[in-house]
Amino acid sequence: MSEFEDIQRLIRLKRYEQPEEGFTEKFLEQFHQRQRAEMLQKSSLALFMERAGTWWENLLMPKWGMAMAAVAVCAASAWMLSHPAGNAAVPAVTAAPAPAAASEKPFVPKMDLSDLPPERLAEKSKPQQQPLQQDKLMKVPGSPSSLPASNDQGAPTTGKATPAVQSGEQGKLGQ
Amino acid sequence: MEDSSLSADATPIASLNQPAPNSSSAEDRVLVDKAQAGDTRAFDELVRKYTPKLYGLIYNMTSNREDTADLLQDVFAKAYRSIKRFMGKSSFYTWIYSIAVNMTLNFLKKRGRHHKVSLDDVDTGIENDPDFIRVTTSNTGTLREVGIHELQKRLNAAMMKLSEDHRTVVTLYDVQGLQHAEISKVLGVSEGTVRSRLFYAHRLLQTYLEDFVK
Repeated sequence: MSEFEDIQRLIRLKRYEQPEEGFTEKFLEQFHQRQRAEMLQKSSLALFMERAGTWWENLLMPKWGMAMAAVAVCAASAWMLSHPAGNAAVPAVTAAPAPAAASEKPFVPKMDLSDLPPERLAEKSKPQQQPLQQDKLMKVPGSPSSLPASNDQGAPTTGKATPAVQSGEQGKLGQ
Repeated sequence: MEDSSLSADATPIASLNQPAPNSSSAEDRVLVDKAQAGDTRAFDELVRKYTPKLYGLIYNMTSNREDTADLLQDVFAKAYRSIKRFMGKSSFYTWIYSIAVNMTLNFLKKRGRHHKVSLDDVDTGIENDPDFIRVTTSNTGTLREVGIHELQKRLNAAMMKLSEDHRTVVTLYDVQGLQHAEISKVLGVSEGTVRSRLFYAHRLLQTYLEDFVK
């Protein structure tokens, strides 16, 4: 260690190189000023970033809104195309018929009288007995045997036929 | 050389450059805790305490007092921004010294070789310093003949001839009075590396200043 003792003593003299008196307090004051300046600078920067962000949002919002609306329309269209109309129309058809059927004329089947024997044909030709036969047919509305065979459309046939059908059985037909 | 020779120096300037003792580390810990909790006055106390020490470190590495003041501002600004991340694994003075050394080395790399020397005044207390007296009385040659300012210039010129790494260890050991282990922690190198750099730097300085130490 003594080999470099003299040179170390020389170097150690550099401790006497000192800044001017009061440097520390002056330095601390400058440090505080710098901190305040940095805070102001940071606030300005933050304010600028906020404004830039707002401007960017305002610039992009209408475009994004339109884009989102277009996407929504496309999605709705695709969904409607992917689902057949029949599936969607079923509830509408079942819900609608009752009032429409009420306005239709009752279906009166045409009877082929050629197959009947002459005595029955003579009975049929009597006008006073025809309403009675119709009443018999229509008095049992739920029975399949009482309905005409040609009525295969499922449409109600008794809308104005009789008051009984109109009052008592319309609910069943509507179902 | 033992560092006890440094503590024997009774001048107040020399006492500023002594390494922080353990009791000082405990005080630092209290101030750091307060600063981490947002007490700016506690951080101001740390600035007051370490400004003379760090000034000496940076000044002896840069040989320019304006650069030293600017760098010192940067060091404390960085420390203030990072104080909440200081975990206390090392002492505060090791941490702040590390910041100062790293920032100064980065600055010196950017500055390059061409720079203007701007030296502080030499305190008149140097004439009463035992080392100064010993050197001047034991030498029969140049040192007796040159003035203090000439000596200052020669010392700075010799220091600036060293590489930055060698100048750093000489500054920390000979001027600042840190131990090898403390320098090792500050620089993040082994103690062997510190000793090796120190030996090589002393040998170079002896060559540069041979007319003073004959």
